[in-house]
Amino acid sequence: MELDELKYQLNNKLSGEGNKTIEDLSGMLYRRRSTLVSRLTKNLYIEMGLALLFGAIFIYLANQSKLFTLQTGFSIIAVVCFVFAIAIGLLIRQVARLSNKAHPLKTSLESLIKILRLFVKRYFQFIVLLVPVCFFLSYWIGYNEPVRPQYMQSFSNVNPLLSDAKVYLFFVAYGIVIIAGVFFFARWYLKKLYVNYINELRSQLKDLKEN
Amino acid sequence: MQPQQQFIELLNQHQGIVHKVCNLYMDTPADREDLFQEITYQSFKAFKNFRGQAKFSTWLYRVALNTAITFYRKEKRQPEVIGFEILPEGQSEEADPIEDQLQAMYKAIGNLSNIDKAIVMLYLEDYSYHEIGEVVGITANNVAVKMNRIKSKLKDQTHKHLENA
Repeated sequence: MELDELKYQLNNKLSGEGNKTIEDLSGMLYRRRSTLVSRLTKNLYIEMGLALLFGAIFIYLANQSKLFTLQTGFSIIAVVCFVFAIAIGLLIRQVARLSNKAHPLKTSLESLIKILRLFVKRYFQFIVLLVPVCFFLSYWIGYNEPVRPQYMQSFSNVNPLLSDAKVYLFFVAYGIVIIAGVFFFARWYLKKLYVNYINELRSQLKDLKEN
Repeated sequence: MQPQQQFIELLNQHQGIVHKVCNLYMDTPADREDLFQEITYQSFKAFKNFRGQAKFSTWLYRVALNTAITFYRKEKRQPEVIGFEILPEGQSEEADPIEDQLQAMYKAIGNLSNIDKAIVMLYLEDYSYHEIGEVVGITANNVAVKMNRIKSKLKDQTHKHLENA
């Protein structure tokens, strides 16, 4: 068979059957999106919305509270929520900029890998850093509460216990277990959701770069 | 003409490209339909930046291949080899040597890596090495080297399939 004939026949086979009508095509323009980047963007918008909502709720709670502990705690959480929302906003902008499908294949693969790696890295850093910060901050604020209302008086007898090294040791061990648990869970979760896919894309890119 | 209407008309004229990409990259009809939908969506989204510097068909190939190669499915259903079930009925069972050769070649293309499939597809469309390089993002020399390697792979695999048949 001649090469041109082979090309023609193969092209015909690949084209297959089942042409879509104009109505079918029009109906597909706004339908469901199933790429990982689309899902990622949707999740980022949801997280940004939730961060802003919780930030507002915690500001309200901080204003309503009369205790230094709660005021400080809620205010810090509100600030963290707003910083998180801003960081997510910047990430959404970067995702939109990098996820243009009309680039050459190599550029698209590099951009997609960059977006996903950046997201995984930031998410992991945020989760892993936030847990110990919250954990030790709660101890510190609670310990330094200047006003002890009536209903908290019963807790005052806990203070002498804190001088006990065993209790400190318990809290440190408890903290380490929680932090390690969150660390490994976050790593497993992100690997399952994104890292395996990133590795697949990297192998495609490697294939493209190889001669 | 409205951009949406213009896009639909162009896509309608070139929908064979999208079918080709879907048939080559997806195994089941459901996956092919999902990919077709996704390519339509992504190309419409990117169409607002299409200025006509390249032919619409080249631009559509670029978007379609990008989408197919980075298409994410929660459950992997793609087997190593593309099945014959996508071929028109009646063709796969005929004892025609040309048809056998085509089937063997078709199967061999299905066994290539995603990147090699993209290059072969553009080669079959008579794109020059330079044009293929522009779509995939490598130099024409690299395309030539890859194409030589792909041709020898296809030759070996086609012979194996024909001997086993």
